[in-house]
Amino acid sequence: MSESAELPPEAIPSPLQPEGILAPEVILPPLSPEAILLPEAISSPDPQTGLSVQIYASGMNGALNRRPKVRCEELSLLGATPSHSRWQPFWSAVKTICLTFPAGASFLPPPVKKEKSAGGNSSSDPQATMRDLLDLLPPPPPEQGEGAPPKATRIKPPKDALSIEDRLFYLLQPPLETWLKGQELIMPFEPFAYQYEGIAWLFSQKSALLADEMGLGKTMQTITAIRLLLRAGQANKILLCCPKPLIPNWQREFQAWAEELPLVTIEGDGARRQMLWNMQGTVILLCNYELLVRDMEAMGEQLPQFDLMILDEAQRVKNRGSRTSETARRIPRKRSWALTGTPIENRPEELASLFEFLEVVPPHATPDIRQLTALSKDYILRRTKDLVMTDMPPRLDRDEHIDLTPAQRYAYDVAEKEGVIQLNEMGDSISIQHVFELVMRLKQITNFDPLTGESTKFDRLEADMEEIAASGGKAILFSQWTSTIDWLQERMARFNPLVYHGRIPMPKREPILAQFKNDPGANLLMMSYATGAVGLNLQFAGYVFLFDRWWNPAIEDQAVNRAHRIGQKSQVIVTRFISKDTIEEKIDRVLREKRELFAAVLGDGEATNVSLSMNASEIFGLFDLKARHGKGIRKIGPKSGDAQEPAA
Amino acid sequence: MGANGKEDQLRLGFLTAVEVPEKGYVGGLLVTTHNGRPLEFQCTVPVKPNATQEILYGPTLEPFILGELIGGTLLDKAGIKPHLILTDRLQILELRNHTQSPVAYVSAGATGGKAATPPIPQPVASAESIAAAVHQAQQVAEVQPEAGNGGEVRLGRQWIRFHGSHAGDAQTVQQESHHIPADADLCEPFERVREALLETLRCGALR
Repeated sequence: MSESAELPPEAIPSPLQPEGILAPEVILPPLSPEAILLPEAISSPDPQTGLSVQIYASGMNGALNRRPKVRCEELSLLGATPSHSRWQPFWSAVKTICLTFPAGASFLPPPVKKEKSAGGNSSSDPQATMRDLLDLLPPPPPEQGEGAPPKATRIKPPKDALSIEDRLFYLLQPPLETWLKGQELIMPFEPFAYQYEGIAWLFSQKSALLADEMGLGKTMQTITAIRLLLRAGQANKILLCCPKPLIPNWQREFQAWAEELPLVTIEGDGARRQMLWNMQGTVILLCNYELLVRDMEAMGEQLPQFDLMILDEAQRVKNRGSRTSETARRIPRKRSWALTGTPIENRPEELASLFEFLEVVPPHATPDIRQLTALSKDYILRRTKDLVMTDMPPRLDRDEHIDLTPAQRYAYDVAEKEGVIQLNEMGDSISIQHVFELVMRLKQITNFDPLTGESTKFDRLEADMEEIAASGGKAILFSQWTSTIDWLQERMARFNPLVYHGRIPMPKREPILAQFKNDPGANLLMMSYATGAVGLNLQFAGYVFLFDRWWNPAIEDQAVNRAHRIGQKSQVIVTRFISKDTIEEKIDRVLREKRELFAAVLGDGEATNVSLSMNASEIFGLFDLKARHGKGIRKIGPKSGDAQEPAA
Repeated sequence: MGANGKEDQLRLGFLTAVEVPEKGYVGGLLVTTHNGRPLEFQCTVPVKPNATQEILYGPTLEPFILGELIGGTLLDKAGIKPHLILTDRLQILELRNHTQSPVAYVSAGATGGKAATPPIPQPVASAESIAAAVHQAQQVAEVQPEAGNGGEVRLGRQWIRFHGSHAGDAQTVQQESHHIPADADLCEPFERVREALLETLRCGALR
């Protein structure tokens, strides 16, 4: 529609309205130079409107008096016109960061072992009985006003965790006490505080050397950390490698601490083992070192992969060049843990070998002492009984310096004299093995005279055992030789001794330990160092006899700690038999001096840690060996390459 | 949801926030199993109101930011939804007005007996009244809980309290409370969340 209309002059706004009154739809003509020159004309007001009217000299003012033509047109609006202005607060979308936790493995709960007898419910297992009784109890109501929050051991992110996801994963895990009290993870016993710390540390470490002193529960800490890793979805396939004699021990400990975890032991013939290695769905594989080496070599390059590989008694890989070490390092894995109570048995280089397995040093690296110390802070956790088990019963060591019987003395002196003469005659051709043979022969004579069977050690042992048996106590005896153990077995028959050494078949070993524990008439268990010194829990024995001395005090400590460990209720009396004026005294002196030296260098707390065995020079030094050299004589020593090699 | 928690397993969401000077509020939500094992963690970047927003929201600003904006966002984005949301900040109870899940307040001091918990907001008609209640809570140091609020339920070692306008939440949670171990410390997961938030800020991930 289009329309034109006449408007009265009053309604028409003057284009010369003062600033601010001017209607927006009227366009002002530009001012001419004349208007600028006639300021008086601008200010003269129009009589009707009161507005000033500009009079131009050019005569344009006449046009201003004409009525303008106004035309209306309807136009559609481009958009909605708000009736009033509105302001809204603007919040931009909040950005978030998300971390989803991996799904953990779930396991069937262990079967409830309940036996019903005629008299009602009963269980042969006292622990199971206690659990059953506890299950019947209602959950304890929280006490009013209980204020102290429960003790909390938090998992800390490891130093090598760099990504925020990795760090948050560890930070957001619940305290171990909460986790282990959960309905999914039943613990048969409450761990000690230091064990909680050890579990938390292991859980967060990709490379870890748990070097707690023997008897502090490395096995339990490891099993619990494995449990948590599986539950948290951090591991699905685990390889645990240990010395063969410890296989039953690990099986027993898994049964006690993590009954729900499926454990497969690598054993049997080659075909069966191959099947076990490649079997799908296995979670934890338990293998001894010998089979590990054999089977991995048979597999060639097609090695199975593991999320976690654990070496128990990891000193087995202390020599980098050994087949065991090389095999262990070859196995692909995401995490590497090592367990040992003696991370250094002989030389610091052994620690470097362990670090190489842990993949914290490059292959063939030779870190110096300072670097090893720095690495130790990050990757080794070691606690000693003195530090953490302040309430543990004491260990009383007594060295029994005893004289040989006349028959033993005669046999000893003859053997020593003849042996030294023979070695001297061999001159430079003698080796460490020749000296070693003489040492062994003399040590055996200090145990008993092979001709007459006389033995002061036996006499002393028999006297002590009478007292121990009379009081119902139990004792463990260690010897280097199975022949000595067999010899003693006959003579100690009235104490019903049990024998545990390498010649005892594996299936018979566990029953022997069980009998020693449960049979009140079995007062004495005789073991070889090689078989019994590691991994066994014999804390019910209060006496330990070291019938002869091992080359390395670390091994002796391991043996003693079969009895002096967590769970021991009474003091442990350790008796070392040392024959006077014999090779045993010399060996004892050398080892004592070395232990004192390292205690002084590394501190008292580490004295048991760095127990060095005797090297070739020290074994040669046990005898005054001299060879003829021209007209004179000269001292015989080991070949240069053997000098620092440990004897055992 | 992850395989860590079965579908029918009770899942708890621990929602809290920290205030970072000159940056604003950073919120975190940790979803756990009933045993406290983590399933998922979400956190926000710092949220800071400008001067206009502070004027406009006045005393309702904190409940809005913490409860609706941060809490709502975290809950929306959570892949694993919690059945019960717990918070140790009273202002976050405002979230209950924007979600179907129960939201409960756990007082850090309310271990054992019912003690020293500030009053819970009563049924509210406006955000201003929530803010007033919050303000009142901040002013009163020790106030014994009174009847007529959103109800209280003993969960683990703590008493938890609900929003006044959602009185039915207490009964709902009460029915599920047997899933929570009697000695569970419901304050502890908030420590984890706060540590995680600080760690995230320290690493510069929340920029």
